[in-house]
Amino acid sequence: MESGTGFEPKVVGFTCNWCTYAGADLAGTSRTKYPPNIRIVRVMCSGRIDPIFVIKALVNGADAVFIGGCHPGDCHYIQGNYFARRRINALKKILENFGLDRRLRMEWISASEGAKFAEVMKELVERAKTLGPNPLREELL
Amino acid sequence: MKVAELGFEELLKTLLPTLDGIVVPQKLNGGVFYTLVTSEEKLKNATLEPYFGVNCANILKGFLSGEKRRVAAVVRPCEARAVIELVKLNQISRDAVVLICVDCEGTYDTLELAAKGGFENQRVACKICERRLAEFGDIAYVRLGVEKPFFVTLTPKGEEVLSAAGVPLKERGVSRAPQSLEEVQKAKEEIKRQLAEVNSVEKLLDVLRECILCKNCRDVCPICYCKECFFEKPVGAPMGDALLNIAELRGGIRLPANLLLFHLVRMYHVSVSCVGCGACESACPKDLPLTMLFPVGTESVRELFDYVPGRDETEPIPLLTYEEDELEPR
Repeated sequence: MESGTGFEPKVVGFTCNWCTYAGADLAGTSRTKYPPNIRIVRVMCSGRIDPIFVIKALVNGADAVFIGGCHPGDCHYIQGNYFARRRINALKKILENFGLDRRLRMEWISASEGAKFAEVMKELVERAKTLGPNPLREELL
Repeated sequence: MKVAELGFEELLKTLLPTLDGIVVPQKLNGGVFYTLVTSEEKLKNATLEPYFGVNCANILKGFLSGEKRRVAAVVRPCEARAVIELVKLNQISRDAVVLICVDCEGTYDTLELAAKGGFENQRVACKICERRLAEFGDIAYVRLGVEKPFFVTLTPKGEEVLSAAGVPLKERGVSRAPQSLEEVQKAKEEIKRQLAEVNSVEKLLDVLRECILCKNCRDVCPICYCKECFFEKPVGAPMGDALLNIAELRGGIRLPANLLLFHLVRMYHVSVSCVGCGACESACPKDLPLTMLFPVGTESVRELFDYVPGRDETEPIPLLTYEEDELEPR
């Protein structure tokens, strides 16, 4: 990696069982190279992701949070990703006040898009490196 | 629109026999309180003095019996809007309450009444309020910028309730000058400027430094309605061994636990429906500038969905609906 600071961001990912988790799996089985900084939490649907999960991850010191779901129209539960999109957009607006919104990224990645998953991971980790460690990591919280 | 020209107390007294009760602020023991009155005898001290203790929508939570038992409530515009939000959230039956919305000139803390008996420091939430005119609910009591106050029906239900009580109604158009916003916007800019200075989580922690996590802000908030709050459950409010486990994991933990999490989550939870009544700031024992967080800090969320809480009863709450082609990612 380019930035020679030695800082390796911790990324928490919430991915839906049907699309993005399978996409991440595909990236793995295809041996696509991507930074290993993400810890994935598999949920059944992006609509299951309560913004509390995201806030808690950030407050507990995650350097970035990734949310992955099915493309619009592809949700296994028909509409879960649409609700998720509204929630995460609302959450981003709130985090924007305190400069945390750039640590949150949401992306639609289908089960066949292993390459896209790898690409998004590269970008996200790169961004987290530019932003530096989450200031809350060192806070006693 | 139908107009009824009679005095405030006169209207309440006329309405009372046809309803099961009236929720109205009264002046008692030198303070101003909301009261739930069922008998005319107890309706002697109704007041519209500009004091804010709690948001009336909080009192109306749980009125769910529909038309069978109906109460009228005298509310300020922010309270009317909160009631409408709670109706959307299924916490109040719309048929159970008749909202009599009064023009609001901006309110003062009830504490101020007790301490000084005067009007010195208007509440911050009121200083930045853009919706002071009685435009929400069933019946409006128009009293600002008019020579003689009068009532106007806003909904068919309002009209039905008034005619059932035998209140003489006149068909008349009502045109009102909009609220002058100059001062309000100036005050709001000031709060926005203060918020802009809190541009990092460390600074937010500074603002919240004195917070003792009493959760009064949540308890008085009309929009925070969960019966089982996350922050009353083991994960949200860790105790004993659970606390020790977390401390062991991180080497130490600041107490009370979850302070920042609580406020950020509350910001998210109230963001779309916050009516900006400022009840949270009034209730804060540590005088934290909570109006800066709700509604000012969450305004961008409502702007995102072009949503004004309580504006339209038929408009769904943005997080409970969606459009296929909107927002990012597409």
